[in-house]
Amino acid sequence: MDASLFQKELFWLRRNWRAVAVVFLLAPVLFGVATASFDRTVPQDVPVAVAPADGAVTEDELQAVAGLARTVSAPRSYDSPEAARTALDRERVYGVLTVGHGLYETGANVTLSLAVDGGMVTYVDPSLAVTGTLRDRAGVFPSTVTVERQIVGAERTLPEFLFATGLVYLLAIYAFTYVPYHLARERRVFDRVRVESSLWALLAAKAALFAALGAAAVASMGLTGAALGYRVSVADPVALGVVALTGAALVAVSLGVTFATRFSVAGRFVNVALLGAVVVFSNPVYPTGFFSAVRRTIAGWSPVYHATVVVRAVALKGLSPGLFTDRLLLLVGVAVAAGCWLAASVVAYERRGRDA
Amino acid sequence: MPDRAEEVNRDREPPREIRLDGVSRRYDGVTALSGVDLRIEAGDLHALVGPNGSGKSTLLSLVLGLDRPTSGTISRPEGRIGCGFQTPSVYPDLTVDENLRVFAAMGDAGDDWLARVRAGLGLGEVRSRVAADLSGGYQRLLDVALAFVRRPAFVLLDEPLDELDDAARERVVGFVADYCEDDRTVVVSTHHLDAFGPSLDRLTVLADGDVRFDERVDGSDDYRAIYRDLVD
Repeated sequence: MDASLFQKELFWLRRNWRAVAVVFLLAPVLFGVATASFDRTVPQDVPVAVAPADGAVTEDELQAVAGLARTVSAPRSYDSPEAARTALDRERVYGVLTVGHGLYETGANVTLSLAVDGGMVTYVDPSLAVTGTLRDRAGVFPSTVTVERQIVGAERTLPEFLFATGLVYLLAIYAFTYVPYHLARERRVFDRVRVESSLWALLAAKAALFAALGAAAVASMGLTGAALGYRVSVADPVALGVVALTGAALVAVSLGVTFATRFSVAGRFVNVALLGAVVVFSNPVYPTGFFSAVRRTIAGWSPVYHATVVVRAVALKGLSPGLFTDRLLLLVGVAVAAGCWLAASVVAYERRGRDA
Repeated sequence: MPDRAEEVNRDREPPREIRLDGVSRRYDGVTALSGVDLRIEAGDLHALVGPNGSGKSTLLSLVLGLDRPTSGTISRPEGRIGCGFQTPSVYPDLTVDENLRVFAAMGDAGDDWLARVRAGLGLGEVRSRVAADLSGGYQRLLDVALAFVRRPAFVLLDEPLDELDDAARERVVGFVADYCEDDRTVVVSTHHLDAFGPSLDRLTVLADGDVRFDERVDGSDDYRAIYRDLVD
């Protein structure tokens, strides 16, 4: 090894210690911390509704069944099967356990029925653990308990489920990788653009371009799905709107990071880390709480998770978008906030002037 | 005596010159410019010279609005100011012609003028080549061309002759001098004072962020001697 060249690396290290610290010290810490959010592979923290079949069911009976189900789910009490079914459609819960009356009456025949959504493919098989556990433990009651499982809604295949989920994540990948790269490549012309036009006009042109390219990407994926015979309504206007809104918000976040870090390596890495966080913590595949209760909480903070739920509901399950008004408003709010973040970053970039 | 309305209107007329009054710029403990007063008058070929780090590029950035003074005021004429940069500022993935068209389309100078700029600066041969693939000299020429494509009244060029061979330098100097004949203004920040010498109308010498010399000149002046006396 040529010592002088190694000395050069030390000089470089001294000049770039902040970016190096982010990439080689902070990133491993974040990676390590992320692994701590995976507790188990039993769906113990997946929320399941427990609801009375009718008005005769007592609170004690509901609590008893919830107690039985607790080892393989996170039971949540609902007043009626209808309310629980709405929660199922909204992916607030992933199963509805309906409890019949007479659990504590000797000789009575009682049915415990677990309904799972045929569109939530990755919970259809794990839900067998819930019914299996209930059957194993139903002997504690003096009554004769029958445990059954029913699949509600149209059953979908795993590829169809992944396809619908992937629509949002496809744009997330573009947002945190290709778009910032594209902008950074043209950075050397920014001074001229600022003089001859403005960075706002440049960003508007980019928005128009990437809106069209994003639409092309979704259309391309939609055609692929059609060719494969998938029953996913990619052209649903609400699904497209949610995908577009989420994509725009993520692009605004990533470009905000890019401007705020003045196109530095650290900024690029932050964007990659954000993409990783979005993919890992937004529960794209498994139900929230599948691996831990912490991940269920974190997913609730992720707009991408909420976008995924809405897209799955309207494009895969054919549900009414009216069920998701709160989530749609949340996504609009997030998009506005992301736009403000980008605007603030650009203003700060311009106010600091040229690199001194 | 003009009435009050006329006075107000006259006061509101956009300046026909670029004017800096007491302009200072400090970065993290470094004073790049210190209380600079300067007028850049319409129709002049105005050279801004000085040793490395004297504040030339900072001054141009402030005039272009890319940076803000720590103190002092800058008055600019209406309309866009054309600009050439120390590091060529071009779209790397576009061809020479595409670059020219993008920025020409922001104004209304027309295709004939664009063709004159391209030919006058010797870019015809490389018009279809992607900017990123050009030599440093051609990238410089493209950067200079982009400063002129909208035919602005004021053009500021930062080191427009860097990386150019002798023939290209002559072309740039000739083009700039012709441009000023049309009552338009070009400011060149340069280390190649002799190349522009015969055509200059005004010379400003900067050193350590101060204006050391700012006078009208003509072809008979010994610019190099002036510069050496002030700076060395």
